[in-house]
Amino acid sequence: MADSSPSLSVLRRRISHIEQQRPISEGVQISTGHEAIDTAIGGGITRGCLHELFALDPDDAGSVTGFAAMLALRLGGGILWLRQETVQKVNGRLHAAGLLEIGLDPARVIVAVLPDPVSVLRAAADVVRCPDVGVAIVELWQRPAALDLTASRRLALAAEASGVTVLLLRVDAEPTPSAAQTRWAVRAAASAPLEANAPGYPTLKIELLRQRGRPAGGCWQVEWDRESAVFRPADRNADTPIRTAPPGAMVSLPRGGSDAAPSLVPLRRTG
Amino acid sequence: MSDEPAFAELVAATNYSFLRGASHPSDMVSEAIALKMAGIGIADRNTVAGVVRAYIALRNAREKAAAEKLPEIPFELVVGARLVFADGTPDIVAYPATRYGWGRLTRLLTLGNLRAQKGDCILHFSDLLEYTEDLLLIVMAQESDGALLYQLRNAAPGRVWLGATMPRQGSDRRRLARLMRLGQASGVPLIATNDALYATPAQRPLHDIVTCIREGTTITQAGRKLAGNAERHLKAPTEMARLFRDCPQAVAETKVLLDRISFRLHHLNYEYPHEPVPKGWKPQRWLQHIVTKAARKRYGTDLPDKVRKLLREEFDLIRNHQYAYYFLTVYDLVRFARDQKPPILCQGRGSAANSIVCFLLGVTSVDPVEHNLLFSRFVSEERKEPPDIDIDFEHERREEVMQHIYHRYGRHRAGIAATVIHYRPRSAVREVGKVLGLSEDITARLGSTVWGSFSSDMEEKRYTEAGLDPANPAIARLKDLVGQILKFPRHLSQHVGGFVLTQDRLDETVPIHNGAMKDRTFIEWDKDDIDALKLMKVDVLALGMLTCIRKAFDLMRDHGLGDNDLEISLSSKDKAVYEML
Amino acid sequence: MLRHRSSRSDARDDAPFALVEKIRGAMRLAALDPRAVALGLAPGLPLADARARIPELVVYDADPAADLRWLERIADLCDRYTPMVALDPSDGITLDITGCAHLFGGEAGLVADLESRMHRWMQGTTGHLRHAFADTPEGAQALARFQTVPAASEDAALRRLPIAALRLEPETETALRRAGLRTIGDLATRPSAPIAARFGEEATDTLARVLGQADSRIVPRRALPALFFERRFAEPIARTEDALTVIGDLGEEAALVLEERRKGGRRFTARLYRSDGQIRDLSVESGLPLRDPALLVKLFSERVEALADPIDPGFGFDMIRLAVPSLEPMMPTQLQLEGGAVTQEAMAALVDRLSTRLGRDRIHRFAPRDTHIPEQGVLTLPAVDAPTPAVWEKPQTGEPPLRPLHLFDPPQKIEVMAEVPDGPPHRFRWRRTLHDVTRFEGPERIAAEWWKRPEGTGITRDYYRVEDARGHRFWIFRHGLYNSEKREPGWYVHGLFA
Repeated sequence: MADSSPSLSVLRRRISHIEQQRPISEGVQISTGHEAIDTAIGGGITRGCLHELFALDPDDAGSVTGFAAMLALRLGGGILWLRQETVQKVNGRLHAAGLLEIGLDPARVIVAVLPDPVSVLRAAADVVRCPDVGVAIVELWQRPAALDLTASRRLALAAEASGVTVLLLRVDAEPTPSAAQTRWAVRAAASAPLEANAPGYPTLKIELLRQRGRPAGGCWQVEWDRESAVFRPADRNADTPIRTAPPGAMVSLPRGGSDAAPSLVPLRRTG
Repeated sequence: MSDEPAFAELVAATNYSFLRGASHPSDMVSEAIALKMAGIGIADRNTVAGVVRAYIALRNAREKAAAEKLPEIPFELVVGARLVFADGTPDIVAYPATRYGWGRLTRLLTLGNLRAQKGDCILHFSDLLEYTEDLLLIVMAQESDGALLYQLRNAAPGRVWLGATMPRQGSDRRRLARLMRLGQASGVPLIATNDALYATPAQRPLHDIVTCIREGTTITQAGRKLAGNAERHLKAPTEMARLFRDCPQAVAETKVLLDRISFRLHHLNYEYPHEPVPKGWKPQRWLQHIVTKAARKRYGTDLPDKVRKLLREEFDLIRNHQYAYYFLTVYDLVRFARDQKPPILCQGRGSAANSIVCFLLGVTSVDPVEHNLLFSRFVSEERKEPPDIDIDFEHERREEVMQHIYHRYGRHRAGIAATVIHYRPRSAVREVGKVLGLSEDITARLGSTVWGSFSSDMEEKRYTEAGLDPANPAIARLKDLVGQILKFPRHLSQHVGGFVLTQDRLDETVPIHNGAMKDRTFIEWDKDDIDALKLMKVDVLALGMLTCIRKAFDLMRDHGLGDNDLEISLSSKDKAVYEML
Repeated sequence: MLRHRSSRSDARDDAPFALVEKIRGAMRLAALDPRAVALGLAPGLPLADARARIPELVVYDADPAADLRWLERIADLCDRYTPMVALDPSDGITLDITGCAHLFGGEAGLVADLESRMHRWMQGTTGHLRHAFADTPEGAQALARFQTVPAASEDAALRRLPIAALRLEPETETALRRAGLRTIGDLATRPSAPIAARFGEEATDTLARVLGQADSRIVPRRALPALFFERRFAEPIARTEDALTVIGDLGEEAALVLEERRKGGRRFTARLYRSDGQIRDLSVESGLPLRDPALLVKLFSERVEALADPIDPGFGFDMIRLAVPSLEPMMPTQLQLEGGAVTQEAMAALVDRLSTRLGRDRIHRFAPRDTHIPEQGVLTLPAVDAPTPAVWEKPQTGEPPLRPLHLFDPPQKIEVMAEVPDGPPHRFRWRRTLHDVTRFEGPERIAAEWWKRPEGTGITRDYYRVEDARGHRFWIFRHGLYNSEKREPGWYVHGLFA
């Protein structure tokens, strides 16, 4: 069939345009640099997916923020960090100098501080649809009613369509059913002290609570190595699963991609 | 008292570390004494320009204590320099343990000075390796400078310390732990210091101001070019012990280093150049010989009693103070000028110039016998300072005399004294005002009220004269800071013509710098320093009037009025001339 | 030219009235209505004299500030004719209608339109409008204020005006009058050099400007935009959606011009003119220069949606103007390039959208600021503003994080057990929980910025990085040096580390 129809060629151009704009192709796994974790999650953190990071204890807010920043750093691309105002009030401002200390260039980060969960989720929907965003970090306080299964599903679908990775940060919250690809609980852990018993490098205890399509479980104590931007094992007896997954089922999400015509899927979803 | 740890601050800068140190050397010394330190080491950046001031301060404090019948101050002043290298080597503070070591240090600094433009000093680590004998070295190193430390330790075994500071910058103890490891591995002892830049914490604002002047910025824009806190002051031994809790031996080590230094500034024994005295003659005998010969020529073989008496008095005084070399050196210069073809007119002045010895040596043309001048005025027994003779030369030909001095004594033995250029009220107001962000019209207004004034303080009324309220906080702050920075040295310059001549290498007594003018070199001590250390200075000055007189003499000769010189014209008793005067 | 004498007229319709103001220590007449003028009163007359002459005179206090506000409102009303509107205080407005009058059916049509709008807007209150057209602003101002009888030409009319029409300094005016010069014509016939020498150059310069012999232009009260496009409607449009469509159309027009000039705009302002004289401004901004009309409409609709105070079209808009205040260079076409360019643009569009919808201050990026004071070391700037290239100082290799990820603003007070005078904390209570310090590092002593404090040098902070038994890492500080600054220094948590 010849390109006689102008509308068809326009359509083609638009499709190829959309494909070009994607920073990363769908389904790429980004290694955490930590072998055991990578193995547990099938090679690494999946781009273009929704991942949930929990600080079950509000005291772990710094740790979960750090984990999000570290993952975002590894995932690459521009970072849009959406924060609910309450989080900002309770846990303080995101401090650019601290991001830098993690190794994350603050110039890569744009922060939006929004009054309530609804506006955060609305903005998130917009952000996740923008294919040029590398990582969208969505930070919510406790358990907002607006964040129901539908909202989470919407985010996941949009992420898949655009290739944007969504990290949903939940401080002082218990997991609820969601469409996330992985779900983590992050806690602070004692660091290996430096000379003169000085606090050492960022050390976290991260637990894989759930993941879609693979067995959950696993808890690792990791230390963040800023210079090589990798997680490395912090405790020598690592890799022993400590807890099983808590309640809050993971809902399966129909995967686009293989069934549908690949080039048309994004068009339908973004249009 | 006895349980107080002994501590000496051995890395103390003064305001002779221009625009870095924020206290006078004297303030550093008196604060160190007040804090009951065992001693202080004054070490400015590539210079020893400030050490004599510290020496004078301690001498005065001791004299005052003695006068008040107070116990002697148990305090030692050691002097050296902080070597700052052009090749990225960390700073190394060097203290001469002996007089020989002092000569090594001053020669090292001279080497760096002569390599650079005026006011700069370019040193490389390799230079230090050539001059380490009798120097005790404190390396202000980082943990990563191990290689340098090993190299230096091998070059100066047993004479290297690793400087450790606790500047309250967060990771102090961690850094100290690493330095301790490095010290242990290299066998170099750690030494505690606060790397002091000012005497008390109250000087932080002033230090910030000089930092801004140095960086060419304003206080609001300087940001982290400024120090984050006020910790770089002299700290009491107990506080240093507390800071160095993890490494008490580093504090003890300051006393060890202090005790290893035997050199004191008064060991700089000055020796006059020997040139003016022929072989086989003692200076006093030679002086008496030529003066007596000249006296016989003038007053007849049979000297009048008055002359004889005067000569005896003066010879005694010169012998007692060992000034023969001094007079002979001056004579030497004058004779050189007179022997030129055509001769260079010259004329001595100053208190010592009233002496009959000077008259008979041809240094002056005023016969003290005729004018009844008293020679003994020129030296007071108490001052014990060298006599003061300034010699004026025709200004167009003075350079010939100066180059003659360099030629006769060599550049390594002759140098012009320094003049320390200080902050004057106008420059202080302008620069401090600029840093504080005051508008130019305010600083100009303040500056203009002190225009032409050489007073060294900014009196309150000058502020009111400029229409500014001294009670206004911004103005009060300006006033306070200007008051502090006044009399701060800004840079060294060369004196108009004060020469210091030595028998041995001058650069083993004091570092030498390149002057602004070609073929001029000057030393980094000024008149007061030279007096305090009893070095000899001859002032070789230029006087336009002498050129004028010489031209008049030339004219007279050309018009058949015969040859004239200064002596004849002055000794004439022409009534008309006196009436004209 | 317009002239309003007074806005207030709740007095008896037939009574003469005046506004009074305290001048040179006495209450004097400041402004008069025509009846009062006809009765022989004049501004400047002491109120007592006026009262003696015309007992029935109604008097109000003059309110110059209110008059100026009034004048500003009228100027807003005139903005629809031309953006070249200047105030001529205290009672005049000057418009430069070069090339505009035809849109309103000529000069007469423009005046008629304005008068009817004024009438509607003032809703029955009486006002006295005088207008005049002239080649120069000064000419028009003089004619509007002083012309009493028609003349054959503008020049003739101007020459007939009294010297007062030049509005010179009072001394100059008096001097001219004493010299027997009564009208502008009298002055104009004299050679200018002696006049300038005797009465000052002000007299000759003003004369030249009034007569159009010297160039003179008005300075518009608002800076003129680099570009503007407008549309008028015979039938006012009443729906906001339609207004947005028109903005889109104007955006298309703008895009053509911008494209041709290879420019774009970072700020666009739409001004909606309601038929009853009300004006509503809408502005959108973008991080990168922009000219795509579709994008522009999108931004404007976001803006409209985000308005706290929705647009009220009233009886409808009868004119819309889209202005681009300043132009910035932009490549001819937005090519689909690989990598950076596209990414930057899509991201920028997203930021523009979010900023427009949520407010520019809610979407920010970071910029470093050079200071030791931690909370002042980072600026948060609206992301929609063009980012300045920022250089962040890289942390030293091998060092642990020395600055926290979260910073409390303000720092949170805690109870601490610590050694005096300046020892590290051993245990502290924060948010009702006790934390045992297992590792610490510090102090990092940060002194206050003395130059910002008129008195003293401020309070010093001693920062510690501490880790508690459960592995939480905090940034806490002691506020004040023990004894020398504070007797009982307080402690605060300032941040949380990962």
